[in-house]
Amino acid sequence: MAGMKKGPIGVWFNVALVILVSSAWVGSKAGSKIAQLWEKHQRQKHGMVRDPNWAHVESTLSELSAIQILQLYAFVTRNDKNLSKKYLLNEIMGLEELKRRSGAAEIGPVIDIYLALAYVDAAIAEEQDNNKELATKNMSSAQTLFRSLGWRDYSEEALKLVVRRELDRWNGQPQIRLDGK
Amino acid sequence: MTLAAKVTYFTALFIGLSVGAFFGFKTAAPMVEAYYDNLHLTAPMVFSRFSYLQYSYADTAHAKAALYALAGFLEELEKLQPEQAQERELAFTYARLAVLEEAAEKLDESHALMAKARYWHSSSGLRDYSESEMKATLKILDARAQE
Repeated sequence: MAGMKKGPIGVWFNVALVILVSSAWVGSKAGSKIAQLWEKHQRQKHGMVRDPNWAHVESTLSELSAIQILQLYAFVTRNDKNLSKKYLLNEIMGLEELKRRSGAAEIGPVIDIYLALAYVDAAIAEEQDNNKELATKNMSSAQTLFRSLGWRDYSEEALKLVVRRELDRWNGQPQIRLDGK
Repeated sequence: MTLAAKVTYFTALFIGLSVGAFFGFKTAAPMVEAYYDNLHLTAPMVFSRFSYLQYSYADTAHAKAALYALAGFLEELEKLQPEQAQERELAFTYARLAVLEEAAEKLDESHALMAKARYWHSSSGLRDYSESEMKATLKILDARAQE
């Protein structure tokens, strides 16, 4: 009897709770979007976005920032074997996507270089996991890009060295010296 | 559905949306502000590193294209939001271009580019370097960038 009496209230409560939680989630997403629009509006109001060139510069800056964020995720997850591969792949896919929808012509080669570096990094990771075929495929993709960027030496060894240097820069560690000292 | 149920669900929806939007805005606003404030400082580093890598490893034509692209972008950015750091970056970008032209024995172009490099160097609040001082500083910077 008690269950029958409590039943409808329990259902009401649960439905109301689901509505509350899901609308709070939708609300928070909307709030975050409003914050972005608000900030843009404030900058427009204070004359920071009035210049017609600003739209182009801002879009280029956003694309450069996207590259930076993709790199950052790939770097901070490097020490986790499972996550590092996932985020390296995410970096490659993100850069490929950015390249497809990029509006600024000058950004194309910039995306290409970071994409090529990510491919070399992925090739090194696959090689360490004994996935020779994938490692070769990634290295070949990288070499194609470096060739199109006019690199004088795009041999496997040279590219691996450049990637190690770039990673050392992120780590703030000294580079691996060619003379081994 | 009874009226009481409708009122309860609508109230839940209203409270959820309002509370969510309030906290969503409160959390995102400082991050969005910081993002826009720092965008012109941090994002060009990606472009700058690209042009440096091209300067170090690519053939002259590609290296020059990368350096000119960076210089063009930084000058555009400079018109809208002047910043000492990007003025210094411009100075050394033009100095690298000057070095490449000098290597190609195009001395007039090299001097013209070095004049631009010196202009941006002094605009950034630093002393007006001579051509040889600019080259020497560039050498040190590039050696450090290889580290």
